[in-house]
Amino acid sequence: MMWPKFVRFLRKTSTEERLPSHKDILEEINLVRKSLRKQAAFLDLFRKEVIERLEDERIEDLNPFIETAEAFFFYDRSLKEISDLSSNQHQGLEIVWQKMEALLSCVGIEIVRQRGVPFDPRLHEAMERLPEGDGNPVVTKILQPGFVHGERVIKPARVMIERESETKG
Amino acid sequence: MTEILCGIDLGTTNSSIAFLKEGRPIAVDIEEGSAIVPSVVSFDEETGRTFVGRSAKNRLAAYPDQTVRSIKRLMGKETKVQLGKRSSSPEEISSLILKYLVDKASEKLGQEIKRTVITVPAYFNDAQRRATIRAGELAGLEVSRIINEPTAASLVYDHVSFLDRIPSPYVLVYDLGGGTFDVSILEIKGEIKEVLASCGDTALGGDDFDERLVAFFLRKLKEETGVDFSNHDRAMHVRLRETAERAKIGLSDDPFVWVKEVGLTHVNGEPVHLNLEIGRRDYEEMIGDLVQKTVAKLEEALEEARLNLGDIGNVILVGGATRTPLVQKTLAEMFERPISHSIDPDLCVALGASVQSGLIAGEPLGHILLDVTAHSLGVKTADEFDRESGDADYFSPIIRRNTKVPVRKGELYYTIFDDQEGVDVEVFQGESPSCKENSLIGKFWYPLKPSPAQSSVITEFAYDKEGIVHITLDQKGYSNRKEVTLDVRRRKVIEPGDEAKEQEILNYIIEKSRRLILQDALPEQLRKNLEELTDRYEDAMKNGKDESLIDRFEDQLLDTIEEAEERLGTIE
Repeated sequence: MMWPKFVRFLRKTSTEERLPSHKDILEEINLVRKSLRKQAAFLDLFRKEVIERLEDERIEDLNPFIETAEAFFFYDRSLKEISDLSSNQHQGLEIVWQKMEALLSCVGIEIVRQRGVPFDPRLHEAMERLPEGDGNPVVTKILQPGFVHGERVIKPARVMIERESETKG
Repeated sequence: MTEILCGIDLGTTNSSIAFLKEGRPIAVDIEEGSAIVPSVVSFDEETGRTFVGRSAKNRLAAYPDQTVRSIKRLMGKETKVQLGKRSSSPEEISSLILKYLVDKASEKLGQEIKRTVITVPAYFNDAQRRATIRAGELAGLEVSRIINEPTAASLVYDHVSFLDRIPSPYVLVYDLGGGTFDVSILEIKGEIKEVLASCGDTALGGDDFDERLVAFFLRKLKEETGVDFSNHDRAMHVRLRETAERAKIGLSDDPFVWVKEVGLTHVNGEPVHLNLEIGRRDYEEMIGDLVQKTVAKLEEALEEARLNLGDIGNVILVGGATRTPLVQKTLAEMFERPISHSIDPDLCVALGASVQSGLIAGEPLGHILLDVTAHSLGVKTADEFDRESGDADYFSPIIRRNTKVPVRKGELYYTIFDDQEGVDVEVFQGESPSCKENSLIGKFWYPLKPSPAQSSVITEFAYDKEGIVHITLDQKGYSNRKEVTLDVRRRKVIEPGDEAKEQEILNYIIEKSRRLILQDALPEQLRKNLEELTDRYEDAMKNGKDESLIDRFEDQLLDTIEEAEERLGTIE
């Protein structure tokens, strides 16, 4: 939206001209006041438009992407749990995952579903107690995937963790 | 640089911090774009690192011996909490939460925070209050005051513009959080707000609503598979809890929600899915007894304060679970008037604490201007009839007055006759139960497909900041949807095609003027002047009239706007 008209400019005065009367000065001040008021209104409008644009990118709007990725994650897992898939079936699922991740990245979302990575309490929410022992905690199972949008963790992945030495063993 | 005036809601489950910006309270986003921080602290023995908030919560299950939550329950007690090998007092743990909030807020605002107001429950005794002050001091803060949570909530509403003030010194604060319920009655004596009564239930909250939905899901799964999953693995329960929470939130706005969960588990080599629709009515039946429990506590508080329902003025809703329509409906029936919230119920205690810090510092407080609906919006239904004409005359509100916009709300209505041809949808705004006394915004015909009487029609209103309401009607189960757009300010249906043209706002002055015209507090003569000048100015702009004429109208309109703002005290 553009401001429809130009703001009136101040009149120029030269040293040759006689000094303006009080009335002229007051009129001038009045004009300046109105111009400022319009400028303020214009800036206010600009601020509102910027805020609205930022609000437009609400996290809630990303929900359909997240819900679809979650549904595919759970479907993929249930297929793998129920039967031994052939390598072609595995490959098929992997291709769909690649496409899914590419789609998510188009809207700036990254899915957290990697196993074998160090437990990061910013990205992962542990669901069970970590066994006693040595070794760094690593993610062994993803119960629910997590999602990151830019710098913001929309939801952490819910995970099972174990000590690194145990998983290697 | 002036000092930051802030307030902290140090909660049992979550905490938040707010500050005053030019006299207006604003909550600070602390982590992951959220102002709500879990009140959890975790100490990593291996690295010596301390975690607070979400990351601490994420460590809770893995490191229960090194993590602590709900420390507020132990405040004021002579006890130590063991975090691994480290032993800490409850106030030391609380100080870590306070420090985290203050450090993050300082970082965000680019200025150090030195002083704060902290809120505590009304029932906290002296030892608990002193422990809270000590926690603040340990966090390196000067605690300028400890105030009661219900007092803080009511303070924010004191500064909200355009709310109906009920002339009574008694305010009731109904606080239903995730896990706890508190009800308090305050008496306002000038600047002082005295807590007359405070009752509660430390084991009742929105989480119980979720559990009822989880139990419903488990019953449905058992019906379908014959297997009882109630003692199934924890992972499935956690997932069902999240699904329940999503459904609960959905049912706050819509009369029905679909729950679609893939591969919850498997039985005999077959995946088990959850694919069902829940109606708000069914949900309300599930949680009805829980809401009644809060009503019993409310009555207990009234008795303690020696007051009747009729003595209570404003009713303030605090806590996320008060978004549940049944809670608002139950209270509305009790108090015989609409009860809703205009300020985020999760944040209003922190916002109120920051208002208190402003009052202490003698800061001039501005009106809290909200983008709220000035009137209730709804449709005419045949629940009541006009005695003279015999025509239907009942105003059924869908979006209540003072609801924050943008908002989307749906309601369920039923047809009257078998094979009813259609419905004359009449949209009204106003507060009277009789449509005759409200203003008609627009009407249109909605043809129905042949169906038996009592067929459901879902009516959804989506109201935006520009005063446009998008109405969606859906004859449930008959694939019969109709979408209509109404301009509330101009009181007309926007036909498809000219929507963009109609929505186009000529300029900011006109938009601002139209907003002011809607304000109830505006003197009548001023409203008329504004309406007349706005129409003239708009007409001159649209029809490309003489520049000097446009200039004159613009000057007159700007002066009148300024006058109106001065009268309303709303100049930003």
